[in-house]
Formats: sequence, C-alpha cells, structure tokens
Amino acid sequence: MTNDSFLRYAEEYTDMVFRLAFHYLGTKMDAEDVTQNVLIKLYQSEKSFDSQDHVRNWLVRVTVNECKSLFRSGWRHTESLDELGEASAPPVTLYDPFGHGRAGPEEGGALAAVMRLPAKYRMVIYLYYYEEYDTGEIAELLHIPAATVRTRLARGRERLKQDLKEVATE
Amino acid sequence: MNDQFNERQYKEEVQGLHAPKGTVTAAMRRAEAHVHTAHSRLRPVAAAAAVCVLLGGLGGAAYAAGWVSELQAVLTPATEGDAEALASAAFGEDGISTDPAMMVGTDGAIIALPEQERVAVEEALTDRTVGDYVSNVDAVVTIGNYTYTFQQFLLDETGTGVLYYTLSNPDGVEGWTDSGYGEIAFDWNQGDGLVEPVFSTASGQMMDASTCLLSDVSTDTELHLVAYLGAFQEDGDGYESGESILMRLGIWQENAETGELEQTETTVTFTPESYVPTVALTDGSGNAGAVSAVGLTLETLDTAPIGGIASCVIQYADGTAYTVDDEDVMNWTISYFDDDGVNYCFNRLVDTGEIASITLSVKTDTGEVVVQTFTPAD
Repeated sequence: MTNDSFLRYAEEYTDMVFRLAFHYLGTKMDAEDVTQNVLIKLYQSEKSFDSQDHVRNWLVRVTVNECKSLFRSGWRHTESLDELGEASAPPVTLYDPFGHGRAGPEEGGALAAVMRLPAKYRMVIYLYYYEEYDTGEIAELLHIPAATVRTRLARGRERLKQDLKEVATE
Repeated sequence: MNDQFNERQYKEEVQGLHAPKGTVTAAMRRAEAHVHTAHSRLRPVAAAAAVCVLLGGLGGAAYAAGWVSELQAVLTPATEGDAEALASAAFGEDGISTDPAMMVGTDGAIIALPEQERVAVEEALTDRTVGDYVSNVDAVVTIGNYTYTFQQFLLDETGTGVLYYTLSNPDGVEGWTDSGYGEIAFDWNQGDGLVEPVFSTASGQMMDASTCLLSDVSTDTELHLVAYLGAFQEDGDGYESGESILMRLGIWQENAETGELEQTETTVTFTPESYVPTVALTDGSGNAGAVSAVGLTLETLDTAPIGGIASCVIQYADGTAYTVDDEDVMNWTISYFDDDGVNYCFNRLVDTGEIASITLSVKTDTGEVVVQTFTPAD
C-alpha cells in the first residue's frame, strides 16, 4: 500500500478502529495497542479495496480479530484507580474516556452505561447505533447469525434500561 | 426519571473518543521497522490472590502467586447414567430456557425474534448416539471465592461439543446476565469479577462458545452451566483430531496493598479420549459436509458471498424433519458462517443413522437464494 493511500485511510478510520477496540476491550491503553496493530496490518496489506465500504468493513473485521488476539494472549492492561482522579470510584467505572478523571454513572451518561454492559452487547450497540450498520451487516462483520445480533441488541437495551433506572433512583 | 437509552447522547459521547495523537505515525514507524506489538507486559499475580487447584486422583495442589496456572483435566468414560444426565441437560427440554428477547423497533412496534424449541431426549437415542463418547471430568478449580467443578465433556471429530460444569460461590455467583435463549454472559472487563471463559484449541484457534444456564437446578450460590463449543472461526485451521481443548478462566480482584486490579488465570486442558463419530456428506457437486449427533458443518457453493442463511433442515428417513435454522426458528446453540460454509452446534441430539438428507438454503448478497441438498456420502 502506498503511503498516500495509507494516510488517507488512516485519517478516515483510525478513530473508528480506536472506538471499536475500546468498546471491545474497555480500556484506552488496550484500545491504543490494538489500533496500532490494525494500522500496521493496513500499512503492510497488499489488498486493493474496491470501495470505502470495503476498506471500512475490512478494518472492522481486523480490529475484532486483533481484540480477540489481545484478549487471548492474557496481556491486558488495567488502569489504576488513582488514574481516575477519584479514589472512591468503583471498579465498574474503570475507564475514563474523556480524561477528566470523571467516573460514575451519574456523570458518564449514555456511554458510561453502554460500557457497563458485557462486551458482546457493547460491540453490537456500537456498530448499530454509532456506525449505523444494519443487523445483517453486523452479522457478517462479526461472523455471527443475524438473530444473535438482534438478541444482543435487545438484551443490551434491556440492560441499559434497568441500569439507567437504578441510576435515576440513587 | 429518565431510564431510556439516549442514542443522541451516546453518539455525542462516542464522538469525543479519539485515538491518541501520534498513533498513526507510531504505527507507520513500527510497520517500517517490522516491529509488532510486544504483548509482554507481564504482570505478576499478587501473593494475596492465591489459586488453589485440585487434581482428581492426585490429591490437592495449591498454587499461590505466579503468572498463570494450568491444569490438565482427567477424563474417563462416563457411566450410562452420567451420559444420560449430560444428554438431558444439554440436549433435553427441561433445563435451559428457550425464551427469546423481545425487541422494540424505532417505531414502537415489537419485533419478534426467532423462536427456539428444545425437545425431550430419549435414553435409547442417547445410548445410540453419544452414550459411548461422554467423558466424566475429574477437575476442580478454585479462583478467589469461586469454584469450578467440571462434570462431563463431549466432543465430535470436528471439535463441536459440550462441557457441563458448576460454578459456585458461598457468597453468591455474581457478574452474569441472561442473554436470551438460556445463554448467560459474564460482565467481564467491568472491574472486579469473573472473566468470561475463553475456549481455544491447543493450536491456538479461538473457539465459538455459548454458556447456557440450567435454571431448574441452579441456585444463587451454584450455577449449573453447559458450554456449547465449536471450532468454527476462520482465524485458524479448524480442529485436528487428538487436539486438546483449552478453557481459560480468570478473575479480576483488587490487590489490598496496591489498590490495583489484578487478574488471576487458570487454563484447564481437556484432552478428548473419544469422539462422537461424524458422517460425511456430499451435495453431489463436490461440496462436502459432516454431521454428528451434536453438530453440522457444510461447505457452500463457490458463488457470490453469503448474505445469510435462509434455512437449514435435516430430513429423516421416516419423513420427520428437524428445522435447525430459518427465519422463524433458531434451533441451534452456536453457529457460524462465512464464504466457505456453515457450522452449527445443535440444541438436540441427532440420529445420524436416520438422516435422509440435509437441505441448506443460502441467501447471496445479490438477494438470490441458492439451495443445496446434502446426503450421506458413500
């Protein structure tokens, strides 16, 4: 791949890769690792992409595979509670996407609620609501049946509703 | 009180997530230097997070501190009663829920999800199909306050099968949620708590897995679980007969001294001592398949990429049929498809000796439906 092509794709999709990896792995440091690995694969790839959708879908698949590899390897990060800036922050709010040291459902809003879900729900929610793939496309990207995608979306939304209800009454 | 998921807010907040500055430049430099990420940040397990592992027949062995501990499970042929117990749990109709989730569309209409049906399993069918191939498992793993007690294991020659185990904690088993169709998901990576078990082959291929709850016998302190397994994913070479299956267990716990979360892991190795036999299939056009009492794999036609599966139906010689998959039903536990083929782990036992044919209807990405009919190969 030429440097020009790589830089063009990188500018367009690096944040997408990072956000997807973050939703899968839950920490910024792991997401950074995966993002770099995916970009390296893109740089070294001899693939010729037919369209923007083609490269986008390829990057989603490679990102998911890299996340699985990282998880499988066992070498994953934790982020110290101190880094959150709030010593009393519970482990469930380990991530700190805005770097403000804020934590807690009462402050993190919708993204915080999504990140409290199991990874399999976070992934489909991100791909469906943010990247706006339909359930059939998500099924192809994640290599799972479309019915499973719909189930995970439904269950994810149920969990979000329960979670937000609990937060609202605290 | 607002308990609705705010999609707009979610999108705005995600939009605020950016890869760190310099990520692209760093990747280019590493690519040019042919340096791959070194996943080598070894993190020692705190001495306080002791792992106690007991090997069946060999007495107790305690591991305190270390990186990752490993356990070779001892497999022995199951008794007839144990085999029937496994078959009833994993492939019967009583223990695992078939309730699908209900989804509400953006217009407020309820979108019904496919239904699932489980059927009663006869002892004679169990004896005929899997009875000789179920293994009792002698292995117990304790991590933190959680104890995994493995019961039975069953695998076919393609690497599709089940593992029955209990997960207990005297203070209650927490950190899991109902995912629909009896499946549960562990809330891993949410801070402290159990990590979802990960299965792989000994050669490193990650396996598909779905863990289902036997709700009729589970309690707050002891879950009875069936993990359905399949070596389906495309990132490996599939399953080789004789290969062990690895199950990685873990828990995140806060180190009392440092306040940091640390992960304790144990990998349990299951080396099959027998396999459920498979029957070779052919569609008469050079595409092959294999079916066992517990799973199915079929090669699809070398046409345009698969858009989805329209249906998969097993027809028996007596005229009855088992609809594995279609738009309205989802009578499987795990499934995978790509441009090369389709794989299923069933939710009931299949008598392969009574199969007349298997019909697979595939939707291509052009909207066309392509039908293949497989029959037992000579």
